[in-house]
Amino acid sequence: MSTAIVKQGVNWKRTGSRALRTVLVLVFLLVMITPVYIVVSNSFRETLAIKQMPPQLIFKPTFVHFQRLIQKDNFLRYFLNSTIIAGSVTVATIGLDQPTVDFEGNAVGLRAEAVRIQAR
Amino acid sequence: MKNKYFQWSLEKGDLLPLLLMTPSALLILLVMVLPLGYGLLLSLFDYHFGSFSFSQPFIGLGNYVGILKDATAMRSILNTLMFSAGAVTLMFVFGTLIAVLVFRLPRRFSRIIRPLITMPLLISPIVVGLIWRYIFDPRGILYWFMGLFGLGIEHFPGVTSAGTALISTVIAHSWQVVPFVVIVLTAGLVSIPDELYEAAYIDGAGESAVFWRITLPLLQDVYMVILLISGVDTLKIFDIIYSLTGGGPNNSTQSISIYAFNQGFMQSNMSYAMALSTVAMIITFVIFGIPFIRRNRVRSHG
Repeated sequence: MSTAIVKQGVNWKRTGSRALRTVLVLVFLLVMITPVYIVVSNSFRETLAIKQMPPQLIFKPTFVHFQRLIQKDNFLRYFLNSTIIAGSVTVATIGLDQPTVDFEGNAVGLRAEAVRIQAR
Repeated sequence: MKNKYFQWSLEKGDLLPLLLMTPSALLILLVMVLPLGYGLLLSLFDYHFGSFSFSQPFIGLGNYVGILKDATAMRSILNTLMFSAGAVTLMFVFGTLIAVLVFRLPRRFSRIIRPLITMPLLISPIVVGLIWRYIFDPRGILYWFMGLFGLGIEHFPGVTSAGTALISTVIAHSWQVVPFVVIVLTAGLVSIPDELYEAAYIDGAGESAVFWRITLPLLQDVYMVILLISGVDTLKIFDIIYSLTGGGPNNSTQSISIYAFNQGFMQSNMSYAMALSTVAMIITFVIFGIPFIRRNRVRSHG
């Protein structure tokens, strides 16, 4: 029997490793979402304010850039273009890819049929 | 009486299966093999944009010889290989770390953290390049943050110096692709039976022993899939580098794709660009294609 389970009180080794893991997860989380936060928050800042270091955490959001995006630039057109591409690629991929397995995991489709016949 | 050589039925050795495969074979021929062949053929000509394809002088392997003599081209090939090695290493190390760490969290935490970590995957690579350009800006947020610890731009020059520009692009790319590795590895971790872990802990195995002896070996197939998908992506790298450094400074981040793009569309040396792309394809095939074909062959025989 492992002593770690029998021993009473605080198991420092286990607590330490758990704390280390929590810290690591938090660090990774921070690394992954900070750039995303920077971009999203910068889109609500004045143009000059994004050059300001250290960055202001609390600021008055502005919607000028979004206004410009929709009113002056053709954002809706670009978005429509992307949607058309995404939609047709999805339809084409699913439509042209022949199914290879059915829900029970058996190989189906023309190719599988051909292979089955050849193997007979 | 049965015709021995030719009949439209589903017996072994019949032609019907071939007929059934014809539509997909034709489609593959039309949209994959033909353009590829056209590109290969053009790389043997001295073709420039705007001229009619086959009225150009045929120069055989001249473009390929040109690549061997072109220092920038060789540099871009070397850069691509180093980028690939660096990105795959970073991706695997951090992807595994994050996947295992988050997997071991209680469900109520991992349910929140995993989607948050996955967010970079939703951003277009061009925008990822721009984000990191902002971060690596000499007066930007990274150097402000390093300044808090008394570090300056001279400790890590980022994209401004030829020595560290490539590793900067590797970091930016890995930042985006690690979530993909995490997602796929998590799917792999779910499929490992709990009994194995229980048995190992009962036998007194420590955490690291369990990781090295159970988790990693059982994830081997998953790793191969990730290596194929994202490894090939790193050899084709274009968008992140293009928007982050544009190939500079001093060609230190020039990848094969970027150099081919510049040659083809900026200098209008279309056939040289195609020769470069062919070399890239051959490299990709040698590094990732051959090992996978081998592995699959061993698999289907064993």
